[in-house]
Amino acid sequence: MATSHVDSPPALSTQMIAGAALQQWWALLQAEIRSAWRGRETPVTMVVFSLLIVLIFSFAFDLHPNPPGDVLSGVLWTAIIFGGMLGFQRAFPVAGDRGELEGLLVSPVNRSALLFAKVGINVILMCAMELIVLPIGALLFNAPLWKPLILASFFVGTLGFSTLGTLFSALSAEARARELLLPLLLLPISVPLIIASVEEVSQSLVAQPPALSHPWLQLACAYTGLFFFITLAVADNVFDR
Amino acid sequence: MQSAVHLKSAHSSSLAYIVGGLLTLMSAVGILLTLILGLLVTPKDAVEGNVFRIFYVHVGTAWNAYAAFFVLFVASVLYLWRGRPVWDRVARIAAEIGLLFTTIVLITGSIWGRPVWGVWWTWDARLTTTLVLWFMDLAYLLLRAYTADEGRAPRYAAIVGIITFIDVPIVQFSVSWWRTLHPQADVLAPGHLAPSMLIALLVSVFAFTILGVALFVQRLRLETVRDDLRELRQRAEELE
Repeated sequence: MATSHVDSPPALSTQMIAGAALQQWWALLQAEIRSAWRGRETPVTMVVFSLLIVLIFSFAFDLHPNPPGDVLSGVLWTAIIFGGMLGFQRAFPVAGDRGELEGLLVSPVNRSALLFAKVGINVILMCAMELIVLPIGALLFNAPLWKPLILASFFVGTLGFSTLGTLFSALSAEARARELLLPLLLLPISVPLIIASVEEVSQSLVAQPPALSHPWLQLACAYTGLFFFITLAVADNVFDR
Repeated sequence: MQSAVHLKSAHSSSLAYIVGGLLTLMSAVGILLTLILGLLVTPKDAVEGNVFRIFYVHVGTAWNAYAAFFVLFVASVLYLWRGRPVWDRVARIAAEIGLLFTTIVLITGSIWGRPVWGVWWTWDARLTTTLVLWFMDLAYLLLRAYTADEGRAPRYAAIVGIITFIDVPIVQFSVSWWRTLHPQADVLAPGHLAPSMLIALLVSVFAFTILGVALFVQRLRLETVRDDLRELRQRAEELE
């Protein structure tokens, strides 16, 4: 870690603390990426699981090669959301881990940097999953997904859902049967984000002349921003005893 | 030596007992009065007929559900701020009462919807929002059930409680943007209700509010007694 004196406030300005926190965030994110790369089972499982959801939907709704835009948007988002949830469950250590997180918490590392490093790795994992699932979805259903606006909607939704998922994964970390509890906490709270993301993608797929205003994208951005702020605000409460 | 055991319930017990009993009795009388007024005294609704009468229970419980979630929010904030265990307990009890009243709201609404709309359920904004709120509250209580009451868990629960409350208007907003099928409820607009209907409604809201407070007081007393029991058991083990 580049700085280790974050806790001595009088000597440091806000700017220096923020700079140190960013440095720590980057270092922690790199550590998370290395750790995810070493144990590849999480990303692999996420991809396979979300592909299976696409497959199940195509049978359940008997989807022909050109499904309506709103159906396709719903199918893809459902696959992404459930695949992503598998990743969130692994973000915080379970009993039997080697105590990496506890070790980090002994050091005066910035708690927000720690929490946002988890957000970061979840965003990366979900994006990696989408890089495989979306092209396959586009291929299977003849969908013109390669428009900047559609990709932007997927990215904003992914950012928001990863933030929410990381936050609630942290908040359920003390619970028994946490992996059962996480979806119950996460899905209702994500309703606005899910509605906005599905609607934005579906409208971009359906609307022939592209829409001029994008209220759904704005809503997704606002909701993501709100939970960014909440995550930042509660980071100390999440990790400290 | 035994006098070292400090029983919290011993101090407040008789007062809480009397207050709790009185409130329970009052709410029973109030609900009975609501039923008499709603079923026998008030006229049939001009459009909906007798089905309208379920509205008295529906609104009375809905108001209480909102009140309970507001208490959940305030108690969670106070717990994060002050850290006193009593706020944690208040938040939890409020969430339980909120779940009870929200369940009644959903069921009575559904019973009303069947004859009036022709369906038990429709994905309209207000219904969807209430259902989402019900799920959030249930998840909050499951989180409480699956975690211990010590360490970081109550603080996590308090954060979830606050987010739940903040989220409700946002869900309402996004859902109503998404699904706008349903006429807005405007029953409180002047001239909309006959005077006897308004009286029945007010009595109902009052009766269910007293019921909510009664449940709250009794539940808090139960928790205090449980705490004492736990302490006595610990004490007994130490003495053995």
